[in-house]
Amino acid sequence: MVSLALGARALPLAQIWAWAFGAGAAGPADAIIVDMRLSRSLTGIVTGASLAAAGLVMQQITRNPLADPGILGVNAGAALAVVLAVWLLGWSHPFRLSATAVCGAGLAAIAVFVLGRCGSGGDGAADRAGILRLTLAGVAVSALCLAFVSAIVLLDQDTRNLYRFWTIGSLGGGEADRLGWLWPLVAAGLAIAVLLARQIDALALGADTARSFGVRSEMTAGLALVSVAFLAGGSVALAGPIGFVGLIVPHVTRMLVGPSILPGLAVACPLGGALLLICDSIGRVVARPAEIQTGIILALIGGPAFLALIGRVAR
Amino acid sequence: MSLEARNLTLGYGGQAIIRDLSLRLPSATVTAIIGPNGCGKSTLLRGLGRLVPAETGQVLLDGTDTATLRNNAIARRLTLLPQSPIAPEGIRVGELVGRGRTPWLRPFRPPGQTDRDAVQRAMQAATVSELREARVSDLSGGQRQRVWIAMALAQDTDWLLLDEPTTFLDLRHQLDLLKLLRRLNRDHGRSIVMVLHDISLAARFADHLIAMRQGEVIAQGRPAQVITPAVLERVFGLHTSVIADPLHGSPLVLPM
Repeated sequence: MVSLALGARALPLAQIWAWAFGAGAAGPADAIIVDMRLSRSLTGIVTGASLAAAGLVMQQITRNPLADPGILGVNAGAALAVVLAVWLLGWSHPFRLSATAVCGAGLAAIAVFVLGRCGSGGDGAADRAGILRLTLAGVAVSALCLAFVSAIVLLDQDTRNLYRFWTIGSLGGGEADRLGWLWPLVAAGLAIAVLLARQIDALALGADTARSFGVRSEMTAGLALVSVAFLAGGSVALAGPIGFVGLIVPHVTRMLVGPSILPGLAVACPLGGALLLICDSIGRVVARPAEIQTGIILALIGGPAFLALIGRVAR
Repeated sequence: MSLEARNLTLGYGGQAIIRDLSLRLPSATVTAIIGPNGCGKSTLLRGLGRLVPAETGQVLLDGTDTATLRNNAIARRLTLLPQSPIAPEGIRVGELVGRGRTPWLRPFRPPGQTDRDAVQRAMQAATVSELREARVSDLSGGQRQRVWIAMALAQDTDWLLLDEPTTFLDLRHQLDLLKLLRRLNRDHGRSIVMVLHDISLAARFADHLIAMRQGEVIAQGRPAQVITPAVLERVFGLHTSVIADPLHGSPLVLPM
């Protein structure tokens, strides 16, 4: 509600309330609410929720508390795909670029998974080594993608302008149609995570224990990564690579409801949506009539919050 | 009722560690596998528990080839507790033990009364009932190992395979744990197979011993048959003297 009210042009809360429960306010206010703010708020909620869910699943299956969608190379892959499409093909249509971003995210996730494949099966130590390999592969793929991105962006002025949006992440413009066809992707990612909840919980005890429970650990890990690629890829296509949500929200969630995936998702999704919405609202207010991109606000708030979190855990 | 390996070859990445091994483990018995480091005893255990796929040969569970059974069906009859299982950050004892019910749960249904009863029985048997609400990360090594045993017990399997369950425990906790395992065998009829390092403890607590060296079974049978200077010489390359433990009557190894 507040998110609907705030913006370059402030609307009184009462007016929003009247719109929500009445026939709709007349004139420009109505247009602002419906066309811009509502779709923006929805996009924020979906993006935040999917990032939080992706982070939660990542941290469970890699058993790495620092895992976040960015680590899978998803963000970098999406950015590279978008930059390539703009530079080589001259695309600018948001639908095409969104699709490109999802594909890039998916390809990067697959590359990371193949490179860091934990399929060697071995004992506990090999299991941990596999996780380490996966993490390193993610960092390597990210670095490679971002190197290409930098090179292209330095070469080409127009690409650079467009790229600025993708590097930082923003709920900026015209997402209504994008949300319309991206939500099934996000929903599918979430559905996979929910269906696999018990297997993912088993896998969090290590591949050996999961197998002793009769769970096929490689298949579970693979499907969980598909889920992460859908969720993170969808969010990147919606709002660009937004950091920190996927990292912090799962931590807070575990403090609240423990490490199981189902209650975790139930808490993490609303939490992620709310966090993103709040940050977006702040970003729209502090620099009125201009805006600060959501990603920057998140980093400004999230960075210190994360440090505080580490401090608490370390003690 | 038995667990049997037939011409089993096991290895990692094409390199065979165990070649063409055949072995029959009696049920309702405490069996210990002993041998020097790297002799393949853990690999054999993991092969029997299907954590390492058979390259050739079969593992038979009560006469049925496990390759023909569904993962879930096996997990209801046999489980393996790895040497260093991983506890998720912040998990509580009750929740962790509850995860042992995984192979029994039906999709989309919450755990039922049977599951809660099994978890409670398992926690009582492993004497961790009073720790239900504690965080696993706050427990001592001995308590934590009992919690893992409780998780394996909650799985309600006839066969319980343990990979060096006494590592990282001091002598008192080693004894407590082995007594617990023997009680599970005597009172609940569970078949227990474990890899142990300490020969004298293995001789005292196991009914059946398997001595391995370089992927082969050198000797098997009752402790008194296996723990002899001749076998120990072949298995460990050690000159030893074996006497009867004055307290328990089991063979006691004195290295020279």
